[in-house]
Amino acid sequence: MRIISVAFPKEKTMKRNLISIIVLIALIAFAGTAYAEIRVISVKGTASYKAGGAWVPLGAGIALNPGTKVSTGVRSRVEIRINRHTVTVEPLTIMKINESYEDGKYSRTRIGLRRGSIRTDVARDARIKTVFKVSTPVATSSVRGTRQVITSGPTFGDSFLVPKNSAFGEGLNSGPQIISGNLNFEQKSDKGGSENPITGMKEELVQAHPLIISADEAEAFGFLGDDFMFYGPGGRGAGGQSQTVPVTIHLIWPAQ
Amino acid sequence: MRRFAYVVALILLFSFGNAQEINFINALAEKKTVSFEDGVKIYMYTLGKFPAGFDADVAYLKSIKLLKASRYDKDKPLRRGMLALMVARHLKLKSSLFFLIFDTERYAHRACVGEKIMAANTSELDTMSGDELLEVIARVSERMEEKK
Repeated sequence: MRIISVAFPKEKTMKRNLISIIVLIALIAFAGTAYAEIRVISVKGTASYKAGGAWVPLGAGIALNPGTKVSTGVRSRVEIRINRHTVTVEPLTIMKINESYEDGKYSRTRIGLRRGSIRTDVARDARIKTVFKVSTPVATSSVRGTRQVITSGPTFGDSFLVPKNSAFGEGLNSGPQIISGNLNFEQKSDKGGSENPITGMKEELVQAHPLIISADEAEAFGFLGDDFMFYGPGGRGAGGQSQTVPVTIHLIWPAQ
Repeated sequence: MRRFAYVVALILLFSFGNAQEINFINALAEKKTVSFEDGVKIYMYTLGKFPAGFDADVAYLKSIKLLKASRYDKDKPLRRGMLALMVARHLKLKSSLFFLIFDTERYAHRACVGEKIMAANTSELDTMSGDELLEVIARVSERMEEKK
């Protein structure tokens, strides 16, 4: 039996060690960036983040730390992935990512919206207890579902629109309300309590009148709506004559 | 080497422009009362143009018929009606018949309220804070995207 021993020259061994170290560093760096919690997905227009007291332009792929402020310009939009959730920052918005934490069991994200509008898509996983809160100067929303649009402004106030699933909305002086099905939580900055979420429904309601109405009635309806329409007691008329009959309409909200 | 220098110069120029817009917006947000000049400047950004000084900006806005008066005072506090007139002309709002006839600040404001660009509890005579101006511009920006 022959034992073959291969001896590398010293220089070659050093080179190998150096390459191994470089590969190891690259792997660690890659792993660090691939699983970074907060990362900019896309940037349209002008957007910056505050780092060390100065505003620095944002670019796709940049990793951000909790505590970072993001500001967008006039015709601008930024998409940010925070853990498994996506936040879209709309034009003329300034927001701060206050907290971002996720492990295998728990996910916690808190965003402060100072001005403007953001859309959030919150990933839902039954195995992970998810808390996703957005606070404006006068209200806080806590997402239970998947999507919401949060807007904060001085005259229109703050609003949370929840097109899908549900969220909690809470004003400074009001208890939490569950909002769902395209309803809107509104909190004006100069009012104590929040608006009733069904206030926004008024624009979706319809007015109805019987098929046959006189020209005068039609004109009155055009001006006044159905408040002044006369609906007499209904019943079957003699000889098959048409008569006004009461009709009950059930409106199902939200519209499916 | 020269190509590299051009690319660096371009990046620096972009970064400068970017920082300028964000700094202007964030400084504007802190103002209790904005001036007509502020309104003109933010409107230039809204139109996708870099501001080039008050007179040049006013000349540009006149050329696209958003401003029509012969003289403007840049230090005058911006009133909601002044902004509403620019917005209503720019977005060609049709929700106020009187605005279509008279083209005044009063009816331009009504048209903006009708289109939910301005709140109903405001007046065309109100002066505006920076936050209020940005709120209106954000809605204008939204409408511009919808129109595309």
